[in-house]
Amino acid sequence: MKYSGITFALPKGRLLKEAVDFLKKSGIDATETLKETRKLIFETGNYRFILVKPMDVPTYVYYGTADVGIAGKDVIEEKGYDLYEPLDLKFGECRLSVAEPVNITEPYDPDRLSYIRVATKYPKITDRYFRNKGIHPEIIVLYGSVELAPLVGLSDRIVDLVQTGTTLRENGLREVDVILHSTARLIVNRASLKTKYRAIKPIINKMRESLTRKE
Amino acid sequence: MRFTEIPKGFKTYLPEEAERKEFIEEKLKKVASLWGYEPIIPPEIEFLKTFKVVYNGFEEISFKLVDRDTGKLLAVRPDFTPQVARIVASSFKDEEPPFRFYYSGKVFRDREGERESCQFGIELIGVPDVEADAEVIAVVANMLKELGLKSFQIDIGHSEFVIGALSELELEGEESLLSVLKHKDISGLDLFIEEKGIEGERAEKLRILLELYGREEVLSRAEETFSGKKTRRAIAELREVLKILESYGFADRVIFDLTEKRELDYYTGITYEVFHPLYGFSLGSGGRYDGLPAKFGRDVPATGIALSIDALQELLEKKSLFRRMKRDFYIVDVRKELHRAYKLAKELRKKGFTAARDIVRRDWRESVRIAFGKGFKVVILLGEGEEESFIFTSPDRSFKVKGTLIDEAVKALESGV
Repeated sequence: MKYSGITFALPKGRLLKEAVDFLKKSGIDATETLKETRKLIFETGNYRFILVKPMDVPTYVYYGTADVGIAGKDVIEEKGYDLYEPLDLKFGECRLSVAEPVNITEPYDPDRLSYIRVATKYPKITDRYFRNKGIHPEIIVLYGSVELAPLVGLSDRIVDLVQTGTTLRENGLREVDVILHSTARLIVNRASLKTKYRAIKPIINKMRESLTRKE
Repeated sequence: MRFTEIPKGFKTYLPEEAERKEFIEEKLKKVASLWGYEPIIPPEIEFLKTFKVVYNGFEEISFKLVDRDTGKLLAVRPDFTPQVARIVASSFKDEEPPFRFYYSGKVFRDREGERESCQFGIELIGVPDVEADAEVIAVVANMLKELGLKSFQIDIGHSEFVIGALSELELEGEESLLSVLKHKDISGLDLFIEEKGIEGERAEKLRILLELYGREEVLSRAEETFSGKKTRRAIAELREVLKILESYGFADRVIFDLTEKRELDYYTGITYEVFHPLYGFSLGSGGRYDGLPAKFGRDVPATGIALSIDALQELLEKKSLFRRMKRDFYIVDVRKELHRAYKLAKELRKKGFTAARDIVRRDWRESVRIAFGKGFKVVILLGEGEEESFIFTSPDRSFKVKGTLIDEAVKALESGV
């Protein structure tokens, strides 16, 4: 598809509203993407917006089908693509944490664990984390409702995103370790930053300004 | 496992794609030869040590085998440059530089994704001056133009600049800082500055480092900010290369990126990377690697670049710059003898057309249909009578030949095109 402007990949779901608000503050109008339609591609003036699953934002940006994207650090780390990550947009704060049932027989103690069975949507980050601690992980990959796993005996523990902790509490789980603090980041395709420098650099600058204005 | 399955990360190129790759390779070879570069063909497999000596990371990513003879570890080439350096040291001992080589072939890296890729590269060895770096860039620019690409961009950096700048700021060896620079992570830099308690001018200079990307003004800004010998020398070389490229007429294709750090750490000077706005990855990269041939016993300066034929192919496809495969004539003989078809095909080929003969035993009507299905433009049917022939320009449009067969056939082809 020939498009000579800049394409943004935006995450569907919990980050979208804040992403659109942030873009608005930086002079970019993506409000149409918030409308309740099945549309996935939106064009306004110089920009095009595509709505994708959060885990897919880095993928679209990596392959260059989107020049820039907004995605959580958790998803960026998990995909591990070679991308430019110029800005921490500071919203969408959450933590990727280890959680276990409140009444687990042997509470989490990373110094004494040699093996862990954990269900998660983030297999790469989880595997790396435990291996670095010298713990052998058995990772069960789930695509959603990860908090169900320990409740029905699929795994002892989970690694999942935590914001307020409400979901964990409601399911009798408690946070025992933080692997990563995540916030929304701006990511940019390497080739795009280099070949569309004149269009992208001002966008980054405007975003930087609106970040300092907030503080 | 079905017998037609091939391992992950490998591809089979069928005729249409294979032809495109060959088309690209021929164009690149043509330009390289015109500039005086000569082909070399290194072995696909060498001792792992040869590659390790150049860059430790090759051990991990190369496909490894054990040499039956010596028991030593062998590697399937993950990169051509170490091989070229070795060859210069061993096979050209008594010759004087400069050496200009080109190579074309696959490199193999055992990791996720594509495990083999087609590369075409040039190496200019024995010239320490910036003139050599400029020549490599000029050759690449000509290669891309030859392929019909106009909006390409060449990113130029210098491996010594970041090293010099960081040592001036007394921050060399800071791993996390290198990662921040690699990802152009402004927020990460702010965090680093805060964590390490860097203040005032030092912080200011560090921030400027991340902005040294753009045209000539970037060089001036770098000069104003950093005053160490290493950085000054790097900027001077970059200025020189720009001047030379201006005289070649390529200066508008060039962008400077002073903090881009190449993955392969054997670069010692000016580095380059090629991009195009319609493609999400780099088309090729390279740079100066002066210390490398010395590792093989001959201390000569060297610089070069490797282009990805796979990337170029994808880009050209996006731009529809490939013409359809050349399938001109298909000859069917109703009498199922082959000598008439053979003579006719020979005549047509002499004139530069592609001609294929139908040598499958089937009804001629089938053969005509199948020929058009395969994309042939004209089908010639040799009839029962010795001189009887028909020309088909489509499965249901044909006429009986009245004049000379070859002339009518060529006319039919050229009017259809």
